[in-house]
Amino acid sequence: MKFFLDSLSLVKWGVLSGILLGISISFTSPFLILKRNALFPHALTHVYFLAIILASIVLNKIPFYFSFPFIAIFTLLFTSLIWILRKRVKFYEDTSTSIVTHLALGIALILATKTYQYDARILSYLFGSLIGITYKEFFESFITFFFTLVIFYKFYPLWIAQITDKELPGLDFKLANLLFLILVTFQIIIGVKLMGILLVSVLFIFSTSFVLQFTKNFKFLILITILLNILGILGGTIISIFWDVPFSGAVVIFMSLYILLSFILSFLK
Amino acid sequence: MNQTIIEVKNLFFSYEHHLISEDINLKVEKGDYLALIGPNGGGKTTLVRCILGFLKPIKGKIFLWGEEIKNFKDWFKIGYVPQRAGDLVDSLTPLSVKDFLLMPFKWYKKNFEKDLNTDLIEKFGIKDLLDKKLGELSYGQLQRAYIVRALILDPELLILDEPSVGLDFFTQEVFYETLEEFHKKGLTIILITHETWLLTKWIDKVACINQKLYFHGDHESFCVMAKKLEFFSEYHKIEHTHW
Repeated sequence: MKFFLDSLSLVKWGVLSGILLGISISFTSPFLILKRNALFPHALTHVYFLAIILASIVLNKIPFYFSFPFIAIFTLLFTSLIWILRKRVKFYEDTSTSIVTHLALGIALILATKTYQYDARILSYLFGSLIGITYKEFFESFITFFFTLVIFYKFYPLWIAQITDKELPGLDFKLANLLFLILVTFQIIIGVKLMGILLVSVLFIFSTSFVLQFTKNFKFLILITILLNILGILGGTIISIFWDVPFSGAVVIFMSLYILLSFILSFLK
Repeated sequence: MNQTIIEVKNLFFSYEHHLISEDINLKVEKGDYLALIGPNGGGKTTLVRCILGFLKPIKGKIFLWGEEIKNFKDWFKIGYVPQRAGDLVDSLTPLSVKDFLLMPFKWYKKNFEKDLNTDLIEKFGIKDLLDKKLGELSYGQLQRAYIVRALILDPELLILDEPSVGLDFFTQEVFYETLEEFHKKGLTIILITHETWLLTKWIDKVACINQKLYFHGDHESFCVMAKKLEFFSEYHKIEHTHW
């Protein structure tokens, strides 16, 4: 028990950040899934990976405080390639997402190799680290959480509208969708540090898709997703500490219980 | 004097260098029950989407209640049901029918003070479905839910794009009879349709569109004119064999 409590004090900022992130993501993930954009966070993480490799190359030449805006803006711009491919070249949404994902990862890999960054740090980007989260990341999670609540409160009727309608008289979805994209980008940036590029999407998909199986109420959907995401973070932390396994993998294993429950529910229906 | 609700002036619309609408001039008066007819790809839906502000014409102007569309703010006055409205809804959509019907109050920032308009819900036969999940409704029930939602804020204008596609004949009859009740109370209706039997039974005005506006007037004049035009003469023939 003492070992567990000692370990917990080491990872407290990580756990708290994870809880705030889990709550924030519960407000955006239903819209991603219901608009069949579940692959979108995965694409964002890969573009973000390219952004941090690029930032590490140019950071020597620019002041440090430019790094966050640089990464956020680059990620947003590169991700908008999905939209351009869909609108201009008429690719399907999932095809465009796949193209941008692989393009970003390919470029990132080449840049990392050529600039001698292809080392252990790559692993921490790929799979995240609970212990590496400090008060600074917790503060960033808190800011993201705060903005999530404000933007959700202001724009959720327009987000919900797009689940049942493509266009409605007098409603302009552009600003609502742009802010949604920015919000998801911030959630990804925070989430990657904790869960890694390859696994952060889990927080967006597993619990929400489970709750969607049995709810007909949006408030209930968000509330239960929040609880399940918090449970996933705490469950992952406990598994990670007791079995000495990577945190992100432990969260995936814990949250796969929700998918198992979805299977069981489908037989009971 | 009748109030003009919609006025379209010299409207041109093109998509990827292909002219869809050419010099359309159209007026819709309060209380009209107007059918927009014409061949597939003739520009009926495009015209409606321009009127609703979804598409921007390359030339021409649209006025709603006398206000140019870019300055128009009272969108709650318009109820709209698009083509294949329920296509985005499936079994996972986390909305009850009641929540779905209440959505326009939030969009248009209208206070929801009393209970839902039970008369409207009963008339369209969805009273017993309010607590059901939206994705559990049949196609016909879902279509009626979309129409009730379009009418929930008591609009002055209802625009329907092929609303009865997929409905059986009996349901269509009930559906159009109910619409007629609202029309008699003063609701202006624009209906895009290929169902020619409607023209004789319910509708009082017809607009024929095939890139250009070929005709706009009452039903009797349409029958005289339709014989002269190649495509629309088919409407005339079908109409007279059907009834």
